Amino acid sequence: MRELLVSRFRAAKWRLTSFRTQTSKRSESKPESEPESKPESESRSESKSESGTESGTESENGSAVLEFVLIATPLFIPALLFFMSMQQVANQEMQVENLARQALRAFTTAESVAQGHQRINFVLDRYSEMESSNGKSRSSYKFTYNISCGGQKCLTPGSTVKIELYRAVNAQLGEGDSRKVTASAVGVVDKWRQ
Amino acid sequence: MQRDHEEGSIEAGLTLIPTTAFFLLVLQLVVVGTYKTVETLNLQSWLNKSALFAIDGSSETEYVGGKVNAIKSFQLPGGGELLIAESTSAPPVISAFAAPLSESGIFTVRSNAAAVRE
Repeated sequence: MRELLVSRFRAAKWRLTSFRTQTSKRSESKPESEPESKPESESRSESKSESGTESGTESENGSAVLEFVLIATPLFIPALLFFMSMQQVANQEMQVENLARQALRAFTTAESVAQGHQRINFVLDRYSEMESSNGKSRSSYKFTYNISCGGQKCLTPGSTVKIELYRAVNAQLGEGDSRKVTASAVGVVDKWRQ
Repeated sequence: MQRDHEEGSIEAGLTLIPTTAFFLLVLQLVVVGTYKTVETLNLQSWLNKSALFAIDGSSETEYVGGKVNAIKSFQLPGGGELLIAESTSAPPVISAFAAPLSESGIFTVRSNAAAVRE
C-alpha cells in the first residue's frame, strides 16, 4: 500500500515538473504584452494558432516592389495629374489677368463704345490665334467678357471702367472637365483725352 | 530579439529605385512649371516696357529670361498697336533621369505675352 502511494506521488511530481517546464518555454516565446497566466487549455489552443500564424506569415510574404507598383502608383499618378492641372490653371489665370489689363487699355483708349468692343475682340482674337499656332485648340480656350462702367456713361473722361474676362480651360484629367478662369481689371478713362 | 525586428531586406531597399526615379520626375515637372511661370512674367514685363517706352521689338529681342522667338505687331481699329510676343526656352534638367526626355524637347517651355501700345 505504501509503495503504491509513493509511486503515485512520484508520478504526480514528474507530471508537475514537466508541465512547469513546458509553461516556462511558452512564456519565453510569447510577446511581453500578452498575459502570462492562462489556463492550460487556452495556452494549448494558442500554441496551435501560433503554429498556424507561422505558416500564414510564410504565405503572406510578398514582393515589396510589386506592392509598391500596385499601391503607390494608383496613389501617386492622380496626385501628379492634379498638381499639374493646378499649375496649368494658375498659369492660365496669370495670362488671363494680364490680357484683361491689356483689353481694358484697348477699350478705354477707343473713340466710341462700339469701337472699344471691336478693339477688345481684336486683342482677344489675335491672342487666341497665336496660341492656336502653338498647338492649343482655339475652340477650347474661348474668351468671354463683361464690361461695366459703374452707372456712368462709358468712355467719358474720368469715368471708371471694369472688365471681367472669362475663359474656359480644359483640365488635365479629361476633356469633359473644364474650369472657368476669371480675371478682372479696373481702369480710368483718360481725363484729358481729346 | 530586438535586433531581428530591425533587419531589412534587399528587396525593400530596391523600392528606393522607383521611388527616387518618380520623385526626380515629379521634381523636374515642378521645375518646368515654375520656370514657365517665371518665363511668362519676364516676357510680359519686357513686352510692357517695350510698349511703354517704344523700344523697337525687332532690334531688342533679348530679355532677362531668354530670347524672344517672334514679335507680331497688329494695328488696332481706331489707332494704336497690339504687340504679341512668343518665346521658347529650355528649363534646367535636374537629373540624368530626365535628360533623354529633355533632349526630345518635351520640357520645352513656350510663353506668350500681349501688350497694347498707344
